[in-house]
Amino acid sequence: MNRRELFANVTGVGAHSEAARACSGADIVPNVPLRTHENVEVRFYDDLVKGRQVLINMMYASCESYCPAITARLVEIHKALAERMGKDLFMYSISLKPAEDGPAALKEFAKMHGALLPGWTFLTGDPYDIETLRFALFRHNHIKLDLDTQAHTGKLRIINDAINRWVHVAPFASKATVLQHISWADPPKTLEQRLEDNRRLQEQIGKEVEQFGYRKVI
Amino acid sequence: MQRRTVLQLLALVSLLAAGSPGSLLAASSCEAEAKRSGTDSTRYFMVLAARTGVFYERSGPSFVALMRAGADDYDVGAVGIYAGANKQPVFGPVPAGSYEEMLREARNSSSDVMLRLELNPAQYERTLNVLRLWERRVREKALLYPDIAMDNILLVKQATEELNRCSRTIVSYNLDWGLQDDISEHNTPLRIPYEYFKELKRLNGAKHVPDPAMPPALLAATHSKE
Amino acid sequence: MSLIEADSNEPQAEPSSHEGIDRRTVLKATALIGATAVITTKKTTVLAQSAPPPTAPVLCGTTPPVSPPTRPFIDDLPVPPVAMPVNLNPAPTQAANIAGGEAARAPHQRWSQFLPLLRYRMVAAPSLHRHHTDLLPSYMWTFNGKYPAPTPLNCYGVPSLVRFSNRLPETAQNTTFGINEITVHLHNGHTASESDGFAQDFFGPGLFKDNHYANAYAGIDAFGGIGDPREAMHTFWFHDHRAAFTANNNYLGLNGMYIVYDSKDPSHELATPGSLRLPGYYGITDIPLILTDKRFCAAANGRNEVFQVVGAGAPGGDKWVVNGKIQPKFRVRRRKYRFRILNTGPAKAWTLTLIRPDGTQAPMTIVAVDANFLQSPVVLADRPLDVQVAMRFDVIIDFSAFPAGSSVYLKEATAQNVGVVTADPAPGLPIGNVLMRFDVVNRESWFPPDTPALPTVLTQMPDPIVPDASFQWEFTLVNGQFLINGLPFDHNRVDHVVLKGSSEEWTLANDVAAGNWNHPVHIHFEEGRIVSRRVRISQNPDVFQDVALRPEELGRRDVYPLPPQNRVVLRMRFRDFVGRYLIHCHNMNHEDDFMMARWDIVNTMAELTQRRREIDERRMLAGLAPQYQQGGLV
Repeated sequence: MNRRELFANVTGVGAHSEAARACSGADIVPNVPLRTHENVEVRFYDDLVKGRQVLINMMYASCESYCPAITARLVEIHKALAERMGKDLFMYSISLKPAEDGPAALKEFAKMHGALLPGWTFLTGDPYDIETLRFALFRHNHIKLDLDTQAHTGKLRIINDAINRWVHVAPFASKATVLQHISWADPPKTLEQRLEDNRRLQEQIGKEVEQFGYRKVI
Repeated sequence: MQRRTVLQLLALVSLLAAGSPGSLLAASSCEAEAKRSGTDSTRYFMVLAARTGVFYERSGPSFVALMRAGADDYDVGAVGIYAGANKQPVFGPVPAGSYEEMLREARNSSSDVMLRLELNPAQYERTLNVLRLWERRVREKALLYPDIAMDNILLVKQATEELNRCSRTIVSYNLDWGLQDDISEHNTPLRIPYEYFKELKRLNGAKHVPDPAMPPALLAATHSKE
Repeated sequence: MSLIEADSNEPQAEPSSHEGIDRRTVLKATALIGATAVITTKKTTVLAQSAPPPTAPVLCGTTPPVSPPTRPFIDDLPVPPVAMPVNLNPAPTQAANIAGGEAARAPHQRWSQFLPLLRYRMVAAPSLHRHHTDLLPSYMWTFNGKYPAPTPLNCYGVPSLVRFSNRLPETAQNTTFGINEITVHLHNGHTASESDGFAQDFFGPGLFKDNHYANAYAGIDAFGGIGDPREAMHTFWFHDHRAAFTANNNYLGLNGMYIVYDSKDPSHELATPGSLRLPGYYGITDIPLILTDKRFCAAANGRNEVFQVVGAGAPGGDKWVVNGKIQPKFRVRRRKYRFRILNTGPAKAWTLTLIRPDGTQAPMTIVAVDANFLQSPVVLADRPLDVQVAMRFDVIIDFSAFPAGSSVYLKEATAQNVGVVTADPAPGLPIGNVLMRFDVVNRESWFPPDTPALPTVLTQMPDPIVPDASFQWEFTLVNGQFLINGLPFDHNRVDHVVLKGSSEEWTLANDVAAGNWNHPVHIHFEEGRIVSRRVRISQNPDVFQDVALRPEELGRRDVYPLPPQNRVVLRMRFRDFVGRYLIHCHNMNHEDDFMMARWDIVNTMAELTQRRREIDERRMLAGLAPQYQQGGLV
């Protein structure tokens, strides 16, 4: 009787410590092949994320519940950061339903929502690769939530690969808060700059304490 | 040989086309499954095997194996967690040396569980797809979770849920970390597949294919170490 | 086990002469101020050399490794040293000392009423910590070079101030998954908002911030300026609370214990007026047990680094750590001891039992929950102690029940990975389930004699609260984002406002539709008392079933465990201070995912009405139901 092994002799992934090496973006951001809304082939890490500060969210073109509102908020954010977009800040919206959303569908969605803007790319690809991305960027470490693609539209992931910083924010927070969280991943400032920011913040606090009796808004 | 190549092609096509394993294949294959009649003598089996007491969290290897017994050839393989060097857990295609002895009737039922189910060709294809996808993820270092115990939970869940895609073949347990999922509530991730297989065996004991009912060639294969 | 290591907790990154803007990287030993005779000259000599900060860690990949093996019961249980008060330069001021490098903040409330007498400096900086003799040191971020941090010992009636200095590495030098910005919260101090470590009030390297602690009981105004002694709390902890990075920064080591004594619970065991005479010599018969879990990389570059992946939350550990050591041993005399058990997270809950040499459970007596004395001690004889993140339990263990030469074990329900094949230390107790071992010896004549039998009454509860209003906090998870009352956390947005001096009944509802998540909900600023707990057993229509409260749930607390579909109703007051405060799940990975909300205390009714109107307007704009009925208080 001829016997065949069903599966190749692939080295498994073990829970043993890998040799010590610096943890860089290439280790934690998948380098999957994707297609942009302009039908250009790209590699996610190498072409879109490496060395950059990026904002990433997931959506799909036929999404009727939260996606339009989230996209509208992202358009607002884009406006507020327009002078950086496409230069040192980039936005990526990745389809959760890549089988439905080809590049053309994404382009149509972007057009419809006023999101065809510089530095903002919509992306689709092979479902296998999208799933890799979805888990890498938005997983909950919870089986039920992670298998629910709907559970991944409500978050904006912010990465600055140059300083290895990952932050996130709910797009439904106020615009000020979303911008603030994005700034947490901004290129670092010098001590002098931070002291100056601190001085300015104290002035604002002083005004609030005068007006409200305590630090209220800032 | 021919049949095997066709199966491989089908698997490849479904890999390219499918979203979650089996989803696109599902629609067409459910109809096909209904139409198929068992004309040839090939038999298909899925084995859910797990053991405790090997890794520190009172857990051990746990994997899904598939077997196909044709007229003059057979296929066998498993993907999941097995004990690698230093008895530490490793996730991936299980080496024959590691899976063979767990495909026999459990010698020690207090620490081992083994549920063997007979499948129809469509179920076999679908679950083979699931395992091939995970094989690919291991090969391309594109696991979904960094924690291999979590990947394995996904694997066993997806593989077993394929059985009921077209019709209710087994009594299932909803392993989804939801409110009703007591197994996940009370066990660490490495141990969850063991408890899951135990529960499936408890629910589907009547469907378990015992050694005497197995094709002799397959039985010999899994006893090759003896 | 040296306790009063006065020199070793002197901040090693700070010359005492100038704070903040001075960017010195060379570390000098500072002159010891008010040093006691406990210091050894040898230590002073060692410190006189400048020690460069440890090199940044090189990590070990993204797959959680199985930690290296560590033999059980090799290391003695360390006790965090007592933090020494120091002279702060520049002196602390009511207004933020911006020019001197202090982070921006509102002025300290009640500054002149509670001028700080005890002043401490806690410097956050990288240091190396060795978790076990079998492990090489790990790179950590710690306060004053020690993990856990040195313990400030305080007294009610003696206000204190802690200057937290940030000497964490600049962003470009940071290879850890933490962030180099901190805001430190004293959990659960009755603290003015500007000193409470609000999650967004973080500051970066080179700056400092003074947290002012009145060390007064809650109810300051109503009770003659010192507060209601029935509000006494004793076992606090302080930890970084930086938004979105709390789990990671705490995993790296930024936390410690903070103790406050009073006449009922003094720092000794003598028969002074009012004293309960509990075991009370810090480090001798009154022992912190600071718990966390860790995972370690294989040895490399002279280190066993703590496993972490940039961009991910704090990982689950496979080693259990007590006071910074794995499976330590501790010699105890045959008398009563007090253990201040503290769960520092980041996410793990502990289920602890005391196990005799014959494998049976031995009793532990709970005297305090979340720093508050229970009315009467509660003996845990046949069920475990369930310690959720951030909870504290003060327990008394009487070791005279065990023969000299025997060992008693603190067991945790989930096994850790020991890695060294070891026989069960007691029947039915696998070695992995042992958190630490107590080795019982006869009491020597020079060792403090046992304290008297525990009193049957420890304290009286404060007057029952008659709430002015009620409010509900509903926790849900929608599209992968935690929401509280339908909105994601936004520190710029007030989610609820209360009037200073009022009291409310709050319902905490865990409607997170993901099973097996028990959310330990923490409310800053004041303690509360649980009125009831119920669980939803079916939906549409909702059917709730009451859950009997356990005896240790009947006292005061500030962490409220919420199992799935549970609702807890509690009552609390809001006294003495105004400002921004937080309510959040203290599973730090959830906290960092913004399972958090802001609530404010305001001074006047006009302010309250105005603010509530604003909140409702904002909610209705967002398509949500208003929270308040027409016209002010509900």
